[in-house]
Amino acid sequence: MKRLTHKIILYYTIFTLIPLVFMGALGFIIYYQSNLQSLNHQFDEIIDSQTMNAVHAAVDLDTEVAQQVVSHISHVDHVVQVTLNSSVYDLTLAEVVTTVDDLTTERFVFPLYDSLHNQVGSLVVDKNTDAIGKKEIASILPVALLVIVAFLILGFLFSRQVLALLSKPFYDAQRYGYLMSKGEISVAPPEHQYVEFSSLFASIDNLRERLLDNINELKKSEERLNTSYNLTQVCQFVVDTKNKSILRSNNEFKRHFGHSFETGNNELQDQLIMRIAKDKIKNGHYYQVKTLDGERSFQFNTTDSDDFVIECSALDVTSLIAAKKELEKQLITDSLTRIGNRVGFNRHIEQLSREPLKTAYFVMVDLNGFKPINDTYGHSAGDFLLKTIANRLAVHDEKGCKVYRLGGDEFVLILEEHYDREMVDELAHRLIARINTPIEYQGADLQVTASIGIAHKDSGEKNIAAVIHDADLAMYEAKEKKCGIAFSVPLSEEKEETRRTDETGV
Amino acid sequence: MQKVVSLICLVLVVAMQTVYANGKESDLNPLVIYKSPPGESSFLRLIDQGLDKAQKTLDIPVTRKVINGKDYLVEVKRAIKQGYDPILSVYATGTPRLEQLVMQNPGTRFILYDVSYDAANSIGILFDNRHAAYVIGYLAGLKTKSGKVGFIGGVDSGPVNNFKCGFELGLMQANPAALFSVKYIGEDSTAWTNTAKAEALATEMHQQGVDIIFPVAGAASEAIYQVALNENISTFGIDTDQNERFTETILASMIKHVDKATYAVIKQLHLGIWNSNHKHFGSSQNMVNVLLNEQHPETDNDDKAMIERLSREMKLPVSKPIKLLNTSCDRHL
Repeated sequence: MKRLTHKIILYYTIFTLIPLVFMGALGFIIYYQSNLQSLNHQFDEIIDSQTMNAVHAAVDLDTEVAQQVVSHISHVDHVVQVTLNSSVYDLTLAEVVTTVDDLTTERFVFPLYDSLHNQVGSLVVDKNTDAIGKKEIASILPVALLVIVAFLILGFLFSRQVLALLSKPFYDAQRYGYLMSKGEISVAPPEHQYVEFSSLFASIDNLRERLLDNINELKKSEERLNTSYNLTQVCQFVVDTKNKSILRSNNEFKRHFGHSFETGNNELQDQLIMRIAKDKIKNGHYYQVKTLDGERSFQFNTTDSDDFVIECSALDVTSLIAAKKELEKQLITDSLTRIGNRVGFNRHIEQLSREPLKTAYFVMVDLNGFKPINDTYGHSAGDFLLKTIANRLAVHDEKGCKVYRLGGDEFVLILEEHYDREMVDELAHRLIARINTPIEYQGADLQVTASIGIAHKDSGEKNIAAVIHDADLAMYEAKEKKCGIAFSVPLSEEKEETRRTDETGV
Repeated sequence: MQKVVSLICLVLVVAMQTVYANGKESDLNPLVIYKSPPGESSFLRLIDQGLDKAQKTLDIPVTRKVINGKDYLVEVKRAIKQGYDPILSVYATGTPRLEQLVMQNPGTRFILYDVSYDAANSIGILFDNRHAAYVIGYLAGLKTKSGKVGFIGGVDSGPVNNFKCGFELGLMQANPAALFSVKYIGEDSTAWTNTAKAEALATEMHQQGVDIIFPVAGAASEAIYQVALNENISTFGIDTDQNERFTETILASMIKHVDKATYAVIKQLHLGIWNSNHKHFGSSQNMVNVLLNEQHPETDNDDKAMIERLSREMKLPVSKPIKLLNTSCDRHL
């Protein structure tokens, strides 16, 4: 991983230290060169200035002057030995050394001429050429080293300073980010005096405040949701079908199915979970479920799930269904006689028309002599009579045999499937016998008779209205003939001989 | 500017004189008077060599006179009358009355050794012996076993004490605990040839435990060398290289190029230049050197290196020995 601080220090080094070192080296070289030049210049100048004195000394045998000459020259840097020889007197006039050390030297001989260009002597100068430059370097080196050390110290201090400046905010940022990620967002960000960092932390703070707001909003809506969740009349719960458990549920659910933690192993909930897990409860359907209050009806809504978690809602519709059934019953029941009315009859007809293959007998019953009783004994007597007759007919109200009051003193029985003609005939006779039995009302015997018309709907017959009409016609025929029971035409044609046996039987 | 002009004039004059001198026979007629014939490796021999050179290269007629016990001053006076010019005097230091004679004869030029008079017609050839003597003394300090070193001078005079002072400084630098005893042979110029006294002094010193003697006694030094040879004492050669003669006793020789100095001064006069009444020669002119006797059993290469180093130090503008010498010893001018 790269580090920002390292990069900064690297650039600092590249853009400051290296050019400075380069310039320093350049300065060093220039200084060194100029030093060497000035040294040579100085040497030439001294030799020039001392030449006349040297000539004088050589000609006049003046050792004092000669001593001064060599002494002067010896003061030039790197001169190791200076000798002034006089060829006039064949001797050395003066010799001086500057060191007792044995050094490698280069010899410079300057011949001395008098005004007539006769050589009068020579100046011999030994220079330590090896040392030339070394001394200059030695004089510059401490400065150069000092500068380098100074730059190193400066660089070190700079690095330290930069690291110190940057490490704190970065450390704070890391720490703060860590706290945020841990969810401790209530801590305010650290303060920094530099704009870069303070703006950074300000924006983080902004973020943090918005996060806090969002969290508060979420909490509020969660509270609201919780309230409605627990206030609703609908059971809401989440099922984990994999672990066979209820993940969460509202109060309504608990009211019906109990708290799972109370019993540890809640039988009711387990049954429900198993039904949901086995996919036996489908979305939008009604089911009977065992609850703490016994069997009740619920309408279930479930979500499709891929991850074994199903969100469910169940609405308790037990009372609703009961009310609905009651209403439906009232609609098809005759309010006076408590048997099926014309609406119930019509529904039965509709049902039959949806199943055309079914066979059925329509038995029309019309009372004879009801009107006089109604006129004589009043409506209440008539009503009582109708109730009694309805009760007598209702005895047969069993499977395959339904009794309806179509209006006034007119009744009808619908006999389905397993009734054959003989059974119908026998039933018709029984009906007539029962109706004929007198009814006691307030000390008086009320007596009515009945005319019965029977029609049969064959399998495949679709026109039920025609069959009913046939039954009506047969009933009227029986009333006209006063024979009690009459079968509709197709039926009478079909079984003429049967009627004969009936008549003989009577 | 004026200086330059005058200098150029001077140079011109000198040059013209040179041309003039070269053109015809030299007008110099030098004379040197020896009290005894110059011995081998002696101071007088060196002077003679210088005169020989002048005679050969400059074509100057040089007259040499050996007086053999006659009165020196009388002979000098006679030479003045005979018109010799210049007259070289080796014995000026031991002959105080010579100065008067010089003053009285301004027409005659005198070349004097080891002394200079405040007179326009004399020129003194002076040697600064301090430096070489210092080196010798240093060597003596290193080599003495008894810690006792002796000095025997001809007379108690400036030139002799010039040696003594340098020698003593060197000795004390090398061996601060050394005992230094000084003796002089006599009080006048006869001391330089008084071998008997010299022998007696040397013997006495030996008996006192001295094992190195530095003789500055002219011809009398011969006797000291003999004692040294007999008693196995170390000594030093002076003026000339005497290492060959006494390889067993001489540690080193202090060589003084009197020949060169003599020739130079004669030549100067020959050129007609007379610009001071003394010429001063020393280490700086390589006129006084120290030559180690490598044959001596006591000397080795370290001593040679030491002598070389010290000799160079004498040519330094500033060094410890130079400072010591300048503050402690008279330059003897």
